[in-house]
Amino acid sequence: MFLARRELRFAWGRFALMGSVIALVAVLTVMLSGLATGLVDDGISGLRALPVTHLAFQAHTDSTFSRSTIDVATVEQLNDTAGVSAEPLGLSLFNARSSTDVTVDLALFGLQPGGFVATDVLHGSLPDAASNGVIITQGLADSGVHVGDQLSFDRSNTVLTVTGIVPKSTYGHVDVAYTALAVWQVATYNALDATTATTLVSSAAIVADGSVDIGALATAADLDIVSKTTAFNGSPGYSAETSTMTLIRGFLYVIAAMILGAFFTVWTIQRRAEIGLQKALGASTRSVLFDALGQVLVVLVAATAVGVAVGLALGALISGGTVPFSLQSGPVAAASVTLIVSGVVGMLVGVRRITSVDPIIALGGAR
Amino acid sequence: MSALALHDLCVSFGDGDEQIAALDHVSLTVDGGELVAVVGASGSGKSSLLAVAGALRSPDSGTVMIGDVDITNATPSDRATVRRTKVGFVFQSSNLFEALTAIDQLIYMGRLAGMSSRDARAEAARLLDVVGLAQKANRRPGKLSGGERQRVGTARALISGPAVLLVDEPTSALDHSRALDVVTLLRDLTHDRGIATVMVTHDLSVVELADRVVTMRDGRLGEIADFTRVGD
Ligand SMILES: Nc1ncnc2c1ncn2[C@@H]1O[C@H](COP(=O)(O)OP(=O)(O)O)[C@@H](O)[C@H]1O
Ligand SMILES: [Mg+2]
Repeated sequence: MFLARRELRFAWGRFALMGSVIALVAVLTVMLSGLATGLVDDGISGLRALPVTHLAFQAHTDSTFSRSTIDVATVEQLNDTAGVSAEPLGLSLFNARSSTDVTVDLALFGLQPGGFVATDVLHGSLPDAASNGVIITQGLADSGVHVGDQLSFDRSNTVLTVTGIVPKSTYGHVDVAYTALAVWQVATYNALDATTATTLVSSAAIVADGSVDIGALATAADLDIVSKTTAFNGSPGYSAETSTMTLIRGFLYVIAAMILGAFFTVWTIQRRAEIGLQKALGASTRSVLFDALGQVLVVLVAATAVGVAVGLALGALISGGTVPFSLQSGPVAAASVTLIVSGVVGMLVGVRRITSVDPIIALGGAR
Repeated sequence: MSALALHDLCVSFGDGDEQIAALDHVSLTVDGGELVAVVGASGSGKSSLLAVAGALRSPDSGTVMIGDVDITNATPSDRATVRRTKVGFVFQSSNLFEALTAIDQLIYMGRLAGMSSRDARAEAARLLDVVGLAQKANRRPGKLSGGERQRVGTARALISGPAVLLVDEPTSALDHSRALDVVTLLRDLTHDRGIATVMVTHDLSVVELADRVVTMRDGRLGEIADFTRVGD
């Protein structure tokens, strides 16, 4: 690294130019990562918060809450299976108007009073069915709904009273609210007659221990039973959004690799004479190669670090605004590492031609 | 035993359908402490001779011995080892690294040859003093004159303590008095250090400083005693 280090210092302008391109790509990568995480959170944080291993849906409904209807009796059968706890879980999207004339979209969960979901998510604060109460999440509170307000739901005659506020949670980019299962059933299925009880629900929340054969359970009950993360795909827009984000990020990495590949191809061609000289003086091809790679790695890592820092700073400005944006160390670290790996792939392509430089070129006369 | 012994070397290149013999059965031995000048027109095979003698390439046939080591058919990596330990090159137009200061050019070579960084630094300083550049040790090539660069190149070639010094057109970029300075330096170092030096040149004005002069024409070597007639 003797020569490589001094070259870095001597030709720092050239390296800085390349470094700033990489840093910009890193900024983009961080922003995209934040946007992707934010979008995912906005889509399924309400589902992710559920203390379940699996969710059961009506067969052939693509594990989608809005299409699935099952009978509470079926859920009780599931619950009777060894190693399985199951309880009904209702989820549907509504438009509601508050008594102070605020209109909101919300994803209303119907929870079994005293069940494991209500216990875990709401710590026992679920209002009982008779009180017609609803607990809202912070997003709805931010829209201007307060404790004590009445919420009138569209396409049903249901009117619920807000009894509490819990931290932000969303489903399908809509803020979540929780109510008792019986209230949810009336709001969802008895649009015209708000009194008749029903035994229908959209899905079952399941906690299964590792020994349970989920496939057999599903077949026996004639249900689709999917893991919690698989159920994310049934959330509105989820797969389209994540695949778009993945595509954009993939392109970004390919672009980073190509920029570095092009840069180092040119850089190596420019330095052909010096590479030939190093070899003529007796440096092994391997050591010349390692020097060059080390040099590039320094630039790559430093530039990525700067880019990530700038990206995090910009991200801090954006988050909390209206754009769904969430920076988490895991995805950001993964994105930085992937960027560096793409960079290394690119530079390997560029620097590869070092091997083919003939030391004889140092003797100017002999071609 | 000679420091450098080239025996019956042939090197040829394809030129269209023809084969051009760059070296045509060339034999040359150089003893330690001897400065041999090789003069000849452009294209006569001088660089090819240095390339083979300096382990930059293998000959098509013949043998190359440096001391008692036969490097004729050495592998590329063995030839690299020979270049960093047994051979010193002084290139046409000096061929220095533009990013390195004068002293770092020498340290780089010393480290390549396996010296510790402290030894390399001490020896580099000493050699820069020998070639008269102690004051300019921290200048990069861009801030040195042509003659100074050539002297840095010479000092660099010596730091590994080579048995053989190969010098390619050292004066082509220099005016007459500087050319004489550089070649005088080369001759003195050759004598003082017992190095076998081959200097390729077509500058007849410096040839008189050599211990022996050989001519090259169309890849064939001719020995002459009276260098004043070289230009005929
Ligand atoms: N790599 C090569 N490919 C083809 N021909 C070459 C090559 N190197 C040298 N030659 C030919 O070999 C002959 C000798 O070249 P060279 O050794 O460079 O001579 P000099 O150094 O005296 O000018 C010339 O005719 C030259 O054109
Ligand atoms: Mg030549």
